[in-house]
Amino acid sequence: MTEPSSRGGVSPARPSMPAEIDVEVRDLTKRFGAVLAVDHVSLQIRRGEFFSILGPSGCGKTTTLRIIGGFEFPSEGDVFLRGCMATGVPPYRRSTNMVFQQLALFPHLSVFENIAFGLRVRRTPARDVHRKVAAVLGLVDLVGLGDRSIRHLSGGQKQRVAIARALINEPAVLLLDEPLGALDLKLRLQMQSELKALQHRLGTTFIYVTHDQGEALVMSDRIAVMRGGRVEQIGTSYEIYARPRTRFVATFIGEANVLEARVIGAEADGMLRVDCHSLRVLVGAADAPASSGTALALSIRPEHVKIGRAADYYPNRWEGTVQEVIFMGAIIRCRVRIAASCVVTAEVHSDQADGLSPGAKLQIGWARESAVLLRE
Amino acid sequence: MTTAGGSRHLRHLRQRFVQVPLLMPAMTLTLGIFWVAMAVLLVLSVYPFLSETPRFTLAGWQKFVTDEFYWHVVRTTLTLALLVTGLTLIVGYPVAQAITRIRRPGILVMIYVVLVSPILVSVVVRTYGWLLLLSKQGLLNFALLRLGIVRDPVSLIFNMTGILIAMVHILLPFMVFPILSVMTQLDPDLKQAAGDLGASRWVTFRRVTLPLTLPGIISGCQIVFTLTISAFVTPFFMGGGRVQVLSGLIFRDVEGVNLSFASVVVFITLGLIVSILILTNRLTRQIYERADVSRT
Amino acid sequence: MRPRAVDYVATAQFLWLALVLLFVLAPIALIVVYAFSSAPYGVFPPPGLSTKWFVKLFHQDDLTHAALNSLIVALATMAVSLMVGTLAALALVRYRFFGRELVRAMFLAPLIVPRIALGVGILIYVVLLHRFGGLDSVVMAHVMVALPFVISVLSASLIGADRVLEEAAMDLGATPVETFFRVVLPQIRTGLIVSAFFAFITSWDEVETSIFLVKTHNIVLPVAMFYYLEHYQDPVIAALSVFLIVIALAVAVMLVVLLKPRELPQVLGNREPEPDSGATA
Repeated sequence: MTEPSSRGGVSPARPSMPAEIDVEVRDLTKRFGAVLAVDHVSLQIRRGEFFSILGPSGCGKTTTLRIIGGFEFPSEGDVFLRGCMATGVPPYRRSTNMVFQQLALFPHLSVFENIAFGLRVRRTPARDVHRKVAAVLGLVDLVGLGDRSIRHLSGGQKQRVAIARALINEPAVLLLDEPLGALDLKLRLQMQSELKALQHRLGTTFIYVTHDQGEALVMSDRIAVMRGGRVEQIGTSYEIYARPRTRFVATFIGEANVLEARVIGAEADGMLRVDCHSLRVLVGAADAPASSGTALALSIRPEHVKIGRAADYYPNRWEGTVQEVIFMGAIIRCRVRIAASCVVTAEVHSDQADGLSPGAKLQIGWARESAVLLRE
Repeated sequence: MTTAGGSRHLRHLRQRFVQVPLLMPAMTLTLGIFWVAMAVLLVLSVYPFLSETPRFTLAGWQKFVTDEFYWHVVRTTLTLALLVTGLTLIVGYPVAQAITRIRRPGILVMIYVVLVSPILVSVVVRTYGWLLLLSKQGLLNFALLRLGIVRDPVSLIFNMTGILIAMVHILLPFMVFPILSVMTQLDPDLKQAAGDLGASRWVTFRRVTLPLTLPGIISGCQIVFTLTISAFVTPFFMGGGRVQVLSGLIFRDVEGVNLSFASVVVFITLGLIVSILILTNRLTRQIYERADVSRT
Repeated sequence: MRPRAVDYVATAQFLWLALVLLFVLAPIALIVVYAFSSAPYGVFPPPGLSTKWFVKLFHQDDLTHAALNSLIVALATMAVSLMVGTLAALALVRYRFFGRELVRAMFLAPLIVPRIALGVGILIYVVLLHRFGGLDSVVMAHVMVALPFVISVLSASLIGADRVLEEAAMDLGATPVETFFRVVLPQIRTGLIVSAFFAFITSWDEVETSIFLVKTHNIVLPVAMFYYLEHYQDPVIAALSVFLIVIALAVAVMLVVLLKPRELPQVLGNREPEPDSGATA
């Protein structure tokens, strides 16, 4: 499932290279007894990418990562690392390194020895070990803590040791399994930007597993959204957010208004007219023209739902009754009923709080392009 | 993808049997020595292949079952076991209680060392010490006479009493530690809650502490009981030939080269131990089923 | 709980503890006293002090020989039961296989068999194999006694060993064997030390399984003492006991010292300064 390399938003200061695939999984399937944890997952991760696998708990993201790392053997399918078949290769012979969710720092070793572990195993001469450990301690901002015992470190420090321990081996691919889960919010945000900067600096391919959609959106070049063992969508942060393909992706990432609709007919300019809760709505046609009567779902982000004068020029506009107003600081979320069975959420700037109260009637609508057609 | 498929199959096979080489040494030893030895003994008890005319016979078993002397020995052994278990429980339970109150790690370590010291020192040394202490010219009689508690020296060795005292001495840690380990896991809030609800200390003990420490008590009793039935050296010396227990019988028969009869006694003893263990386990399960408490 | 000025129950319990500890130490202390007594039999109070029994002890070559045998046997028992037991415990804890509980029961069964019975069984076995009279049969017997404990203790230790650490080690390039030595062994250090000591002490003090397997040339110390005590009661045995007590004390101290570094953090845990979380991350 190769995506076109166009990015809709943030572009890194790297010249676009022909995409080399560092990690590929083909038709990966994993069963634990009767449970199907990973269901025919195929991914291609490019060299130097920050690739996230995002999904709720139990969706198979960690299992997929562990298969890539060599800790689980797939029931079907294969793993390729830099073009070479790696399916049966044990973890100690793969060019991947993992940062575990539980960190898995060796309690009987100091910070220095923990980080140096991979080098010691490879019988690296002592002088090189010292040099490399010093370098990587600087990289993760832990200078001077080499002799500390693991027990005397804070959560953030332990995190850095785990990362250092993995990176010192200069792996082709770094695997991260929800590494920031145990940290408090502020620390987590700080570590997110540090990790992103680190990846940028090193150019190492990162595969990052998380259930936190905000985290994935911020850090990743591309994201694979998983649910129930399957990949629902792969794309850049922008693509995932602005053009979700499935109901799940639309609602898992950010907020979305998902409306059921039925096709009535096609318009001249390629628009589709659909009947949505007995409202006539104009939407951009999908690639394949849909015939009259087809059922489909629309997703509209709350920030694209305009109220009052802002909705004046939209063909999709109606009068609605405010059901609920939630003040959230910089923005206000209000739920507005536009049809007997249809309540949409609109997100507006706090400046536009005038006239917003439960029971108030107002104009509400959205641009034709704002609604995304979802394929199940 | 035949290579991948083939290696997949091999991997699965390997994963299933990797524990075999790990177990091999231990299994060879245990099976090869212990179990074979036990089997040989069992065979010997009904087929004395070491005598001049080996033939299948139940004579040994008959001899044991019909002779009153051997039943007497069984009774002595069981009585001893019961008494030792009871005594170590009465002595050891308050010891465990006292230890739970101690916080200083240094003192705790010293107490453990002292408690464990009889085990560290050889059984012969221990028994010798008791012979000295309890003999007619020994320390205890000296003290008793001096304090005027008795007029003549009390005979405390070469009888059941001596054996009892020495056995309790050695088996005390085996009772204290299981009880202690259960006690330390006891939630202190429970005793407070009971007090809150108006229970006196005795009632709290009877209705909260005792039932909850019961697993430790039973475990300790099982261990002490089993070890007493199996004991040889201490009853041998402290009994002075006047008290005969099952292990002593075995020793006597081996020395007298009545090996097939010795094996009969071995299995009688083993049978006793196994039955007691099964009975107490069943009892424990019943207690817990009745109380509807799940055993962790 | 109504607070009291004097906690009668606690005081009573402490008193009882003190009495019991005295009870436990009494015979051992007495032996030491008699070892220095000038009387040739056990009488209290000792008429005078003398070290003649120690002198007599040093002239007993057979006892020295027995002690050496005991040492060899104990070391061998410790080595064998540790190695074999570690592998067995690994298999029992880490892998689920058909008949696992049966195998576990099979390993632990020797625990309930009276040691003297074990002695008889191995005697006959050894006689049948024509291997009677060497130290190897004694080691075999002692390993049978020690192995179930070793497997028990190590199984408990291994359960507490974190498997993720092994995955981390393998991820960093260590083969399964290297992982075992670098990561698993350090984690079960306490269990290993306790098992090692237990195996050694059990073998060193073991009488019942050894008594049938030894003749004069391969006799071990506890059996030599047993026979000595059966026939004589002079304080030479007290002098020897003093040495054994000293050795036992040394063993206990060694154990405490070796285990302490591990226990200290847990014991002093609440007094350590809290590592700063987040501020200097």
